[in-house]
Amino acid sequence: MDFIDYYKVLGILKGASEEDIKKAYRKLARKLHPDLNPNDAEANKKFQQLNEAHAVLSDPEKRTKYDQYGKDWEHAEQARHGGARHGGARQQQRQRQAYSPGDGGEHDFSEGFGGTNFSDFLSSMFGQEGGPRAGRQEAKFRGQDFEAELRLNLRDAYTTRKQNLTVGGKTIGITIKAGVENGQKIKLSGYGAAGVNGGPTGDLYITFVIAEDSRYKRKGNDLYVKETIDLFTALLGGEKIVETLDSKVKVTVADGTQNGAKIRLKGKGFPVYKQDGAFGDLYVEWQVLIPTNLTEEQKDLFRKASTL
Amino acid sequence: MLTDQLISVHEFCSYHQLDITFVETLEQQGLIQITTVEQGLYIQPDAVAPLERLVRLHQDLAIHTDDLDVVNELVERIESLQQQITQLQNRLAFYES
Repeated sequence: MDFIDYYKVLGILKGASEEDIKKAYRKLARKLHPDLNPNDAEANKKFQQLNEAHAVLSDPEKRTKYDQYGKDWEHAEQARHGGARHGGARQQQRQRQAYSPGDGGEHDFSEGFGGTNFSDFLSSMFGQEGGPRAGRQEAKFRGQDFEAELRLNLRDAYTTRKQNLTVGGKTIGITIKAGVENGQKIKLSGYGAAGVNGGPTGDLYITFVIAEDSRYKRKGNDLYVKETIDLFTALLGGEKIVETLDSKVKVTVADGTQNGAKIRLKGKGFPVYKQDGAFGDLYVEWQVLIPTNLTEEQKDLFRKASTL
Repeated sequence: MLTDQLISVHEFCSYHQLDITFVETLEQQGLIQITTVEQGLYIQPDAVAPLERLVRLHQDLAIHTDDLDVVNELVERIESLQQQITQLQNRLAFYES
């Protein structure tokens, strides 16, 4: 674990007054607070460091030790007391874990900032770990959040499916709703690292990465597909079987269909996330195949047709 | 109305060491909804997380109660814009592929 210069984190000089520390903290906290920076992991990390720096430098006793011993300030103190407690680096790590982002713009807060998984208050009601803001001086720390990517292909994302994941030795069964989007993130509360000193467990964030399909392209809930038709069908009209992601549809091709013309098959696209029975549309782009290797007889017929 | 599925505002405020006027002000600003049952004030369980965000903004950043609606509005816009960015990135990938 790298040493963090708390003065540098707060952007102040070593001789800064308590008032300077408070001002610097307030200014940076407004800039980096996780509630103001939803889904910004970098801001979240910096905010954790900021809190760590503020916790130490705003406490005259801790600040004196920090100034005296530098990165080993806590460790040095422990050595004097028999070394029974955790090292400074460990302490830093624990403090960094104390604040983590949630999904959908909500953030989760643990010791020191009044929150746990989905709600500090609700957690306390239902007997989970965590506690009121009044208890923020206790050395409980929320476990680290885990981030994971789940790769799916387009067809996987088309249907609701259950999938087992193994995270940290634990197998978790999750239900992936049909229509999930590329880049979408979900939170599984309590599947992160275990808390420290009875602190609440962190969360697991899963980001879905949906690979492109060789046949279908997706735009929102609509699908796009290219289908070939022969020249005669394009000229004279006809029927064509179009495969959707879950069935086949017989489509009428109008006579005089141009190359690149599109038709829309309503409700044959991608399922709408968390809206049972709702689907986007499927757009079919016709690609007219020009025949090659025509016989002389066929060429003559085309020549005749061109002069009619 | 059954109150066993509602969260008592009194308990919430007690837990977070808040004055009840804080929650009442938020209701006046239209940021939360309070349900009154037999003279008791309650909030819906799903309103707790958004309310706690307001509490954190108020307590951690010393944002005045009257200003919370503006900050909250801006945060919601950020979230909405982030969703739009993801959707636009997906659309861009559609055209670039």
